[in-house]
Amino acid sequence: MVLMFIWLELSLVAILVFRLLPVSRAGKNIKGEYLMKRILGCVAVVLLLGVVPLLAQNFEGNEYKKGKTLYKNECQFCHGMRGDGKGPAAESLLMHPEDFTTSEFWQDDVEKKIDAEKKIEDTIKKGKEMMPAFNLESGEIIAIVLYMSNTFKKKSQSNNLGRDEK
Amino acid sequence: MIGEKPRKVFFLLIIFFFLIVFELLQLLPLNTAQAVPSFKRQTGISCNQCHTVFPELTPFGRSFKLGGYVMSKTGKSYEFPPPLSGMMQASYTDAKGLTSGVAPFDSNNRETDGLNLPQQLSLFYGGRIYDKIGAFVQGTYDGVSNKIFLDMTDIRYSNNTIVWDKNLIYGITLNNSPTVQDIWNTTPAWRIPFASSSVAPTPAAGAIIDGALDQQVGGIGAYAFWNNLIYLGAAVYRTTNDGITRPLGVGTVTEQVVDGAAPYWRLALEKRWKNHFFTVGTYGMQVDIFPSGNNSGPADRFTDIAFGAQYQYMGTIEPEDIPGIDDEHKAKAGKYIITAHATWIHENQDWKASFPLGNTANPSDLLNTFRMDLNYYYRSPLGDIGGSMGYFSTTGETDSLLYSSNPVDGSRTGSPDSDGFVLEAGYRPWDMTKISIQYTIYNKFNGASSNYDGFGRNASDNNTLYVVVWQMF
Repeated sequence: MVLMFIWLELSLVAILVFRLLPVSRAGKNIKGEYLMKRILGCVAVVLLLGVVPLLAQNFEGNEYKKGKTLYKNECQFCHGMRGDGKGPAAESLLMHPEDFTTSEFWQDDVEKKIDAEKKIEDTIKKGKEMMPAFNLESGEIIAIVLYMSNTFKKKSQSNNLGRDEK
Repeated sequence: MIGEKPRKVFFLLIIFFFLIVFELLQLLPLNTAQAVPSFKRQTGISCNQCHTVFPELTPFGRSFKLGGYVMSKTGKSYEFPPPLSGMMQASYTDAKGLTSGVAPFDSNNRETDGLNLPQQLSLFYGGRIYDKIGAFVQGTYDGVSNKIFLDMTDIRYSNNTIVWDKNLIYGITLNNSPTVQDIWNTTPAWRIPFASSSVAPTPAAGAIIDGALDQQVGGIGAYAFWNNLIYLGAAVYRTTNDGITRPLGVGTVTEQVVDGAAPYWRLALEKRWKNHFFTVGTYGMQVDIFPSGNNSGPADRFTDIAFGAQYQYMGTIEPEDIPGIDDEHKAKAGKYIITAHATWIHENQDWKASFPLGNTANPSDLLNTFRMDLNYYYRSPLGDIGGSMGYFSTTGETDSLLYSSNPVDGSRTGSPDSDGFVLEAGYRPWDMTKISIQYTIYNKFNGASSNYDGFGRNASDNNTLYVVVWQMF
């Protein structure tokens, strides 16, 4: 959030300088001024464009935080904060909770023709084996999946890379 | 004052009413989680995941309790309606050779005394209060003593983190009975048998930690369970006779008034190997209690040190091996459970107050309690069926003033020694219903096998047949 404001401020400063610069003055190097103005104009546009992904990232960041909180409250007791299926209650379950850090978990369901994220959404909604169906709003489920995808999917990919290198 | 017969009719009507309500709820097209006790409603998981056969806990049930009863299928910090449930126990007791008109069967009508409808009616608050704070609070109407009181209560805050790369569950508990906060069934508050007759004679001697302080103290404690291996708990208790702990003893007459604060400790080790769960542990407390009728002055000191062990086997037959099984029964059927418990409680009784008053013959006494039981249940598609057999023994020093001669509940020899067996067969046709038939056999009662009370009564005269129906709703 702070970064976004700094970025926005920089953009506004660039626009201000761009606006305040004179177009031409007698006896001065008009070509140099014009060039400077063009450069500053480009910087302002680039900076402004940069705000858009930052805004999007920030929105996603809120969803991510929401997902993280929900994951901590609803999922981690069994699946663990690291998503490795080793939460505080995992040892007491007869069926081992799913490990989200494996590449197998993130494979698409070819049979149902759905991707891994949709598969997780379905599992949260309907439950699976010992896991109950959760009564969460669709936005909450999407937030959990976003958090899982950003955290554990990346982890599973790096785990997979590590295995391949070995 | 309500007469004996109208009172029974009144309670029969109450039971009938609850049964009708229960049956109607079964018929309503509700989500199945709407018509069942609050823990199931809150978590969305079946009773079997937390209980072998209620109220005994499975390993996951222990985790749920340690987690502060807050595990939920919704993302909400608070849920409405509150997690309320109910329970009814109706029982019939028959004790061999019992003489009408003798306490506790004192109404001159054995049938009326033995038929307890209800033996107990309870209302529970079971589940999340707010965020990480949850509770198991039981309010009970005792149909035998005809009183309403705050029964077992355990209010918790729980959280978890990672310490030394392993999970740590930790929390705080506020409760009104030492060991009610415990998660294994070796400690007194949750020991087997879970239900027993309220009207049959029972041995006179018992350790303080063995239920004598239930609802008569209030305490606060902390606990931690690291790596599903080491459990450590500690608490302090004070009397509910007055002060801030008074609400925790609502409806209970404080017969054991504790002087100051009584420390309680618990240490246990649990280890899983495949579907076998092993636990060994120790627990105990030191408590100063004023002699009966006193609230100040010198107090007697009781030091209880106990050891316990539990073995639990959660057997599994692959559901695919059972032909024609539907999804609903998949998780339930084809499992058999074996549980064994053993407990030994050693109590030092230092009669610092009672001996000078002439209430005891010795300045100090010892009391040892030993119990063990073996339980088997099979989860068939028609319900859970099984039973248990247990052995119990109490031994201690002879004290002719502490255990004096008296009809039925007295001791001719002044010895507290008692031992015997408890056999129980149980059937749980549905999640919420349990029927048990229990038979208690006494080899020795209050110090002797024959003429133990000095009035010609034998230990075997107290052998008790007890039939109980539990209904949760």
